[in-house]
Amino acid sequence: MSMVYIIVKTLTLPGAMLHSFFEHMSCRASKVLVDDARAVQFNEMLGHIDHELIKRKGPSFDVCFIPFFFNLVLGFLILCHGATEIIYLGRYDQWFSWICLYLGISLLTNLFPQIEDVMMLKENFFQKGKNPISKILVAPLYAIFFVGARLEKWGVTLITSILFAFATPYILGTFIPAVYEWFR
Amino acid sequence: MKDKNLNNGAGDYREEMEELARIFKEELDKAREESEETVETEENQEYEVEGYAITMGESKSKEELTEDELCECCGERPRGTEKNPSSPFCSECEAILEKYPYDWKGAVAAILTVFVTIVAVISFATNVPIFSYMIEGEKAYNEHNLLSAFQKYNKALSHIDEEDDGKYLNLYEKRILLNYDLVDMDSVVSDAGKYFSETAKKMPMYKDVAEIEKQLINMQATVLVIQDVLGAYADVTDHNYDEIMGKLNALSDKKIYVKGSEYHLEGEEGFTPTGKEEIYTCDDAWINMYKYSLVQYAGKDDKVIAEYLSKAAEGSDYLAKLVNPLLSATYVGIGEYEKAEALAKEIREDNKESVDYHMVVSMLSRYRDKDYQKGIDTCISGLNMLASIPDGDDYIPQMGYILSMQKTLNYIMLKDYKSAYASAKECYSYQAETYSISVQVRDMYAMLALQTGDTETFKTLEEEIKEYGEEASGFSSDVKNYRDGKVTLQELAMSGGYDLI
Repeated sequence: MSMVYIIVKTLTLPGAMLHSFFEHMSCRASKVLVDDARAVQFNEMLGHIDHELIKRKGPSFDVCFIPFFFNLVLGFLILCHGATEIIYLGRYDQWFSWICLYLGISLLTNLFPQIEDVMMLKENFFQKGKNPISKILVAPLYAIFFVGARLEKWGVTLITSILFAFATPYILGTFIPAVYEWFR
Repeated sequence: MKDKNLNNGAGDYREEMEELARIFKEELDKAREESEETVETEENQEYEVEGYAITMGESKSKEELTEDELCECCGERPRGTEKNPSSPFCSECEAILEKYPYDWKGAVAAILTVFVTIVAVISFATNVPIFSYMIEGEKAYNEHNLLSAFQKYNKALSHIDEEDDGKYLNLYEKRILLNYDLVDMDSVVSDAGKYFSETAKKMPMYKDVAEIEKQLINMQATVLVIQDVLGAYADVTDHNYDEIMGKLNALSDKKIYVKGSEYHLEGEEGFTPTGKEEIYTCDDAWINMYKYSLVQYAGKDDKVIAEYLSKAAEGSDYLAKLVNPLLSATYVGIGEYEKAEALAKEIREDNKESVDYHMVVSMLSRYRDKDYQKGIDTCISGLNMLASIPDGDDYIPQMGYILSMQKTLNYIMLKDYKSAYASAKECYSYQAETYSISVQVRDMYAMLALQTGDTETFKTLEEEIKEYGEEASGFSSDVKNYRDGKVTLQELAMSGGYDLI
């Protein structure tokens, strides 16, 4: 396992802890057996939990998707404030905004499942004879998870989430003024 | 030869593979037979381990179970559950692992994160007005709609609480850059000094602010030095024209030492630099700007005036923005229409909401093309553009009067005096709103009042002049000449004296 991976996970520890928490939550909800659920462990399992192989479609999807979804939503909501205040408005005196910026980046760095879980998802959904509709529906997510898991393995997601933080105000700028105008 | 060897090689390989397949089949059959015998034996046995009933197959004592048959987790009970016979865990362990307890650190992190999210969303919502106006301002700025951008930035600033004044550095930076483009030197220097500390100015993202401030302080210092030189002269005459020009020429490349509000020119009597002063160099563009004022004041030819204006514009981007409207109008006056048109396009590229562009185009229609209706249409579109600027109601009186006057002059050329009079009245009312009525506007309004028979208005204007204590000067000679029939309105419209440049 790459040292960069562990360094990036350590730098973004809150996001990694949250990801493992949500992964655990989804395992419990789907009755997947968990072997080890330590939130902080400085090895390749940081940000993930050790669970048994999943041979059912639903649970394997949940284990990949639920942590991704929660980290994405919470990360984006937090980043909206942090990135807007610090990066766009240049308000550097607000410690809470700095926390939001860090936490947002940290959560978005730890979005993706382990590559083993992605492979399991593929195994459960894309084998011969499986339902073609579910294949079509899951295919885009599978692609995102696969690429994301690869990038996360090399710590690249830290860079992408920082870049995303810089883009966030402009993404918000495409609709927030119209929404504000509508409410005003 | 080569083919033969290859064929031989393939034959050997096939034989070898067939032999391997035969051995593998024999071994597989043997293993299958043994396995069937074992299953038969196990099915006929019954066992119980520590009171745990095994549902699959028959019982074995704990000692009889191999490691592969014991639960992976506890290592005591046999593997498999009712639901999942092939599970590596026993039922009890599986029930425990299904509900593996959460790590408290992860749970605390989750609770804190949810709390931070709620606070962040609320904080973001409070910033939405500032953010929205700033985004819209930036968009307008990037589209070169500078007046709209100015309004949006002002709106954003109006939503900042008093105690947070000066904390939104990026907003002030954007306003400084905008004010630079709108040629508001005082606002730029004042905002840069007020909101940006020396440390902030050294930050790479505020490099532009530092550069602009330095450039404008240099200009301000140059202007102060020039004003000192010119202060010695009460008037420009034929006798002192060369002397003043010589003094302005001598300023070129001279150093100015600035410390706080004090400034000294290099070689000034009684001044020795201490090394603590900031050193600037006299800005040639501004020297040329004052030379332009000098030649204009001295009544030199318009071509000479245009030459100095052009030199001033070439020497500084900032001065170019200031001088280009005047220079292009001057080019129209001296018949250099192509240069005027090119400059007008430049003005429009810099600021799509510039009234100056419409003014020059309207002048070109009147002087060059003799297409007076086009001139009127240009003015109307300019006024509509001003009216369409969001929250920009003040712009109409502040800038619209220039276009109203252009419209008036074009109507005069069409001999549509009624419309011309309405336009002149509009122009006059715009200026009255800003408490700054120019002589040309008042005179034109008065002459058109006479032309259309509105003597009441003419008298009112006359009285107004008296109220302001201007009876000595009264109306200009143009009005008197017009009343005496010595000059027509058309001649005045084409004289250049009423273009308000």
